Amino acid sequence: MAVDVAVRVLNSRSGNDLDERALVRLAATFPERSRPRIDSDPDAVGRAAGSESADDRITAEEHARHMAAVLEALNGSIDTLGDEDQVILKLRFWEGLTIADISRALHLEQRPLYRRVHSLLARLRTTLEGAGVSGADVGEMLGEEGP
Amino acid sequence: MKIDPETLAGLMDGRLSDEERTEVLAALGDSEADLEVLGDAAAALSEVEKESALTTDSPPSSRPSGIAWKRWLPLAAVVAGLTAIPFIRDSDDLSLTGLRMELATVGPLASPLSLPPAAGGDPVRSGVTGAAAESLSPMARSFWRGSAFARLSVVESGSRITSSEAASLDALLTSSAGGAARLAVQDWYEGDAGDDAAWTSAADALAGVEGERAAFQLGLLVETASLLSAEGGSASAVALLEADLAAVFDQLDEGVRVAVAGEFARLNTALGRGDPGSALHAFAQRIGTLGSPDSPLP
Repeated sequence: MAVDVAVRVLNSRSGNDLDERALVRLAATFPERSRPRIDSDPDAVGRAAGSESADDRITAEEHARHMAAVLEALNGSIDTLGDEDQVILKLRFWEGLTIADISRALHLEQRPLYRRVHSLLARLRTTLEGAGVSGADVGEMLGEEGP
Repeated sequence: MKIDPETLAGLMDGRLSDEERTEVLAALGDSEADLEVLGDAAAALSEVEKESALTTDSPPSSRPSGIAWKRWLPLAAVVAGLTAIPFIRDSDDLSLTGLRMELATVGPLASPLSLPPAAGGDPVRSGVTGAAAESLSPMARSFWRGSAFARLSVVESGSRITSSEAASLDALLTSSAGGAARLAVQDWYEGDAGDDAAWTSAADALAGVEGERAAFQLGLLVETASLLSAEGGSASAVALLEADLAAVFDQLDEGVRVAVAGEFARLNTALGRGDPGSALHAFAQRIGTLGSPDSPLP
């Protein structure tokens, strides 16, 4: 289980003076992280099939297929990035980590990380729009909100 | 490649060599399971640090009042900086009560902004996520941006921000959809502390995101008033702020003036500092004399 291993990771850190029982107890109280913001949602089409009206079903199925195609394009774009940038974005959007937690995970300075994430998102947006994905779809996939 | 806990711990601690780090990052990019472990470990570490902070912090009541100086100085800078933001005087429909009521309806709330209560209620510990901000009117969003920016201006001088402050910054950046405003805020936040030009540029850009400058200024000032009162009690700090706020007060939109004056009066009373001899009371009275005839100050 990931949390168990995560506790072992913490126990392996230098200067950690918490005993294992305390860490495990703490792990039990962790709030569930809001993941993932990017999700291929393979069950979406199946759920759509259970929708009430035929029109709803068709609309939901089309949307699910469309977003799956967008996701594929997104994954393709992320794969073009460097390893560290890929990990940063995946931690942010797949694992739902905050910038502060990403800085802890990768031992990176927090403030420059804000700029870096926003730059990466801008790059992804440009790449995706260049590949024909609409700005609205990109915004939906990346969880970006309007003004 | 399965990454062992010791190696992930080394990554988090910065103990890996460049070569090892490169190798681990490449493996992480290909392994959802390892990413999940790393994510859980980072989240766990965050909780450990919070727990640690809770057990090592002294109770607020036992803190010496002098500690507030770290926050007073940037607060004063916030107020002083207002003079550099262009003002607009045509917001007759600006209503602090209306804005409070609108902001009180949104949720879930993510970042703590100490918005004052609507009438007689408890203070609203309110933050607005980027998603929730969408449901607000442009005026309310601008007010919220001003509040968030005031709070971040105060914490900006600290060496480390808390997760809630990071959430505020994140929401502020997300809501500032205009690229120029976002970059201006980032430049200010990532730049040197005390860079007045960067602060002014960020404030000006945020105020102009939706053209509701007066609402932004109101949010900035009301949040400043809340912070001021919450950590009040230092005559020197009040005196420091008095000169700055007085200098800008008569430039403010009338609606903003009335709202800010009322806020100071309310906080002065609510916090039991209505003593006519107190520095805060004198400050509130001074503001009242600068405000319009409709000022709610006695």
